[in-house]
Amino acid sequence: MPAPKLIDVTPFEATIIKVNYDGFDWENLRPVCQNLINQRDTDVPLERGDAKSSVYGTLQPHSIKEFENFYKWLYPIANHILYEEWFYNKSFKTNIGSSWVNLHKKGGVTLEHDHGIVVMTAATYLQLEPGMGYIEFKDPLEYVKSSRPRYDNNVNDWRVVPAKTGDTFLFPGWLRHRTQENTLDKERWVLTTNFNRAVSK
Amino acid sequence: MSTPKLIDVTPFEPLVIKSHFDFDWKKLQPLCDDLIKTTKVKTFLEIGDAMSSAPNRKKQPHLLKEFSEYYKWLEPVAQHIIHNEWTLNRHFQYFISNSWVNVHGKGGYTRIHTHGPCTLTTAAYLNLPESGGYIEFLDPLEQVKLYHMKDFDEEEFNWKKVEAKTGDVLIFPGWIKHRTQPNESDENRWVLTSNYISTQIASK
Repeated sequence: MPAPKLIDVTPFEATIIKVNYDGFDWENLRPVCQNLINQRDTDVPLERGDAKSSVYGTLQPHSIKEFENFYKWLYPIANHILYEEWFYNKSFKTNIGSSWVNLHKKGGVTLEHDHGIVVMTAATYLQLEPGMGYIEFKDPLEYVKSSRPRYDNNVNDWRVVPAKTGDTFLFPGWLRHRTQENTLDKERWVLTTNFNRAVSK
Repeated sequence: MSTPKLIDVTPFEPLVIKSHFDFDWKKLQPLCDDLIKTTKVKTFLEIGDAMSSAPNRKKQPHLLKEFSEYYKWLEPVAQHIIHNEWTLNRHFQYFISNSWVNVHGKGGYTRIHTHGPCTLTTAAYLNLPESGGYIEFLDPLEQVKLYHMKDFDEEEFNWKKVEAKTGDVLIFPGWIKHRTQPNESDENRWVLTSNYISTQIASK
């Protein structure tokens, strides 16, 4: 007898969506990103090992011309996901609240965190090769599932999502995530963008 | 510019899985009628023209030879999902604890409920007429998503139906809240439900 066909019919919306942007000119962007990192030499508690972030800097990627084409490409995609995939009401508007770049050299990681009240986060790989470490997401149903006979829950709850340069992950701000360690002597660069609810005053 | 390709890469295991088994309904229907007739108690979950054999512990489908072909088919499917899709602990045994049939006449439906600690629940459509109504699942992340979804009718928005046809078998964890739509046809809807529970294998 042939093996029965099993179909995933889970009827809830996709939590993490991947899309690829192939328009980065990394040779020209890298010095721009390094300037963003250099603008403020402050330790970011989430970044460990050989890791830097421009998250506390006043200059942000979404407001500089070198990233203009990327954001022109990203914004309609984010809106499509918001309204067509996640079924937000069309009266619900967003704007980019913040953006920054992270640099991880060998041993660098970002610790577990979420983006709180942020509607949607986009994490875009500016420079990524196998061995530089991927993003991991924590199962949001961890407590519900913890009553089932599982193995080590701390291991079970985390799921890696492989990627390549140009890949963008879009996910809700409440979803916990972290990065794997960069094991290479090369730089991993990630551009992160937060879409917030636009509030009219 | 070509439309960018969006890929769902959500890395968590599927919650609701569908498969299919071809029942011999003509042969099974008299037996299912008997299961319902010999059940004297009406369960509080069944509303309108609806009956369940769930309280009838003396006669359960998984213990009857007429259903043995189905359960022979189901067992490896359920074990595969438990071990390979949901990657649950192999130091536990997973087996059927109870089973029953539900019949819904016109307007009949099952209210919101869960199967509590059951590891895996299966709902098999023995007979699903057109407009017979589908099962609906409540989004288990409804509270997490609440903040940004307020413009919708939350009561209905968080419920998602899964369409099916006669012979379809839906497999899902016992903790997920679900209910049925009312049967809007003049023909009865029949569903066979089976629960798998777990127990730790004693160490020697």
